[in-house]
Amino acid sequence: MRHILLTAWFFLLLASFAQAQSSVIDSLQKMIARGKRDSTEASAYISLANEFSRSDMAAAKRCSFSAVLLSRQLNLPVRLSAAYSNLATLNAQTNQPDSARYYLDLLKDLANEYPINRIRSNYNLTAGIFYRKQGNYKASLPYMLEGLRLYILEGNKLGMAGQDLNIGNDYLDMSEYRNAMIYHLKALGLFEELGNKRGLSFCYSAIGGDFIKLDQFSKALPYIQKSLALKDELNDKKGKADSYISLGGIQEGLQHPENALASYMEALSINKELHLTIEEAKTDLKIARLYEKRNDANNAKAYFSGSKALFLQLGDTAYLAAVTAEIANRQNNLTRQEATEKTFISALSTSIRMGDKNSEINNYKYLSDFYAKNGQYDKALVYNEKYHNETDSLQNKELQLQVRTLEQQYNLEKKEKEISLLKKDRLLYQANLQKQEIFRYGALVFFLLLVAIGFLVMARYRVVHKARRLLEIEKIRNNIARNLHDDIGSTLSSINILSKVALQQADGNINVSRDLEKIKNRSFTIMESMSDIVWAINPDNDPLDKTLLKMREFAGTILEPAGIGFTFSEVGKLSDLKLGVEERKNFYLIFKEAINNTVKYSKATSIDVVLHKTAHQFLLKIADNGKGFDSRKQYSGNGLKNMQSRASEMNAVFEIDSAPGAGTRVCVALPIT
Amino acid sequence: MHTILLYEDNSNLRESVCSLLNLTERYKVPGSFADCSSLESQVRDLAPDVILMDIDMPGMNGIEAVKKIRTFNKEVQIIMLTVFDDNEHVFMALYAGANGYLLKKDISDKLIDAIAEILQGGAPMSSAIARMVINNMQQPQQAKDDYKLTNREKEILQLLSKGNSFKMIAAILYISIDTVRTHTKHIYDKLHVNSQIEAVGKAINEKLV
Repeated sequence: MRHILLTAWFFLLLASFAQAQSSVIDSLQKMIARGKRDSTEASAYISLANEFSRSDMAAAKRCSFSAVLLSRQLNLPVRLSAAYSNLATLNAQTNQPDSARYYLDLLKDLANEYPINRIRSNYNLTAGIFYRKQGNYKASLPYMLEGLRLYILEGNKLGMAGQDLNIGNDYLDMSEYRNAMIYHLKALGLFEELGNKRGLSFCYSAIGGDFIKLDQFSKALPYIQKSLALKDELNDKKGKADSYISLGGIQEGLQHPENALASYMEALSINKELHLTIEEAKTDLKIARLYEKRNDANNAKAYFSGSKALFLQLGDTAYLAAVTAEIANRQNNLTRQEATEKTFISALSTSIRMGDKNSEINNYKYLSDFYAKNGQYDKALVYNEKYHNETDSLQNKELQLQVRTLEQQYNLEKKEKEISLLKKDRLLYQANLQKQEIFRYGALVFFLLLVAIGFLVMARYRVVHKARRLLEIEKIRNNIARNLHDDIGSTLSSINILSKVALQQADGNINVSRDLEKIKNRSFTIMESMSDIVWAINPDNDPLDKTLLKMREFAGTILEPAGIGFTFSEVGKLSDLKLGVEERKNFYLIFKEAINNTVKYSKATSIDVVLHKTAHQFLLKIADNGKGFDSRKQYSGNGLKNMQSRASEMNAVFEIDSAPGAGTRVCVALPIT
Repeated sequence: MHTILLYEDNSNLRESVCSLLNLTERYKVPGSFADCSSLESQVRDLAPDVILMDIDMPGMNGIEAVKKIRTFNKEVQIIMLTVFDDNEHVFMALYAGANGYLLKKDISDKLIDAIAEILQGGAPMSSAIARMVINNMQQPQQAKDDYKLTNREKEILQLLSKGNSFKMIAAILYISIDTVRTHTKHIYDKLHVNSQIEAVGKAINEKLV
């Protein structure tokens, strides 16, 4: 709370800042009404004075005086300095320079007594405003600069902004437009940073003023309008009066004298209402000049006189001199030439002393015109030259350019700031975009994955489906084969049985017996090979050990009755091996053929069967100890040929190696992957 | 003179088997039938010593027929006739109470001996059937011991399942072929005599397990 109140009094010191909202005033008054007589109350008085300073000078003074008493009583030097500062400024504004001077001196003593930055900056600021109010800008400037230095030391941005504004105003009144613009823009930047509307309204006003002084009315107009709008919003009456003055100036410059007059009148009524005598006098002067321009001598004279009277009352030397000079200029066709000349000369020296360039230039012109009229052309020429030199120096294009450049630079910086903000926005937007893009890509990848998975599932389904179909087909084929075989097998069996029955009834008829034997054997062979085929295509028999089992069983049933001993050995991991239908069938049938051949022809007493699995092939080796044969010779029987063709059917290598008396070795090598 | 009944849907085969059996004069065939529609009355009335039963028949098949016979007659010897020896049906039939089986291609040469063998008590068993018995022993936990096979019987079953003939088994175990046959007969018996086994078989047949 204390901090807020302490900072609050700066508003006044910045010559302007009061929150005129009645709610603020109400709450401050309530705080005071509690009558605690403490530092908070003192601060409240100061703040309240600030609030009133823009609308009710008398009330502002009363509050400030209460603050002085209370601060003294409680020994609060900083608040005391603020109260002195308020009183000095308020008195200066209401044209009580002696009272103002009195409080300024008190403040000076206080600053000397307490080496506190806050008090010293208060003093400097107040002194600056005091001299400024007197029109002595040369005297004001050093105080203002010192005040600024102190605020910078403090790091008080609001103070710095206010001081920048004040210094700019000093420079403006000293017609140093470049410096004025520099400080006004600095102030504008700070106020924008702080978001301080009141400060902004003053800056717009000041910058507009800069342009008006350079006769760039169209550039000045938007600033003044912005300022006026802000002040209206803030209910800053005094500020509005200033802005109306500026607006009038612009309208005058833009050749709208009617509008200008209306604006001036608006300002005049506000100034009168607020008892701002100096401003009233100045406004009168402006109105007088406007009337004079419009050749309305009566009105012009009335306002000139009014203005002069007020200045006289105020004791404002600089303005008094200027007004007197103007009136004299109007009357210089009158006879009192000497007096007129004296008036001009004294006005000139006053304006030079005070640093009022505008008045100085005007006086040069008046003197030049005066001498020209009186035939004193040498003197007229001198002043004319001075007038032109000064005017040129004031309004030379280079200067204008510089000022405009300054404004442009400022606007450029502002734009750059905005651009950088936009860039940040864009970066954010881009980041967002990137996120969205990532999401989009993610979604796409997800979708693709989904499609891929879909394809895989479909493919797998197809494979499984196909496999299932194949299996079904195989089953159906197997079933057909079995049913067929069951039927044909039974009939063949009956033929086989009947041939046996007939054979038993043949009664030694050798021919009939032989034929019947053939019928019996052949029907049996057909049954057997049929059953082999049905066995081979049965998917249940896919595992190799089923094949081996069948081979072993077959060997047993054939070789045992023939009295041939046999061994069956397995080398390598046979259980891993799986043979296809064709391979299984061919393998078994080659084996069967080989065993049958051995039984029928070899007269062997033993057979060794070896099943061998290596890395790349599956070997079947059948070796007997029979009589053998010449394996190079061609044999008429189908047996060997069948074995050979069955081997090549499954891409296996078939070898038979035999010699008479040396047994027979059959080898089938089936390549495996 | 032993009485034999024949159930076979193929008329040619039925006819020729009858001829073959009648020729021997050791057996008489009072009836041969194409289906099992009047099975019970036929078996009761004709009181055969041996029944030759085809597995694949229209209507009631051989396995069901065996089961039905066993409900009222545990004495009659039943030999299954089949084209295939790797058939699960053979096992199922044995499980249901058949005493042996014969491949149809072997009928002409082996039927007479097979009937004699069965009447003596004993029957051939293929390696495929032996394996099925072993597998069935190993699979359902409670069935494992319920067969109550002796170690010797298990040994013979193992050897059979590896494709060894009775003669080879006899040689390996240093016993006579007749002893092997006796053991095999016991194995068959144990597949169906024990009521619990029947229960299991029933369960399997009716897909309860």
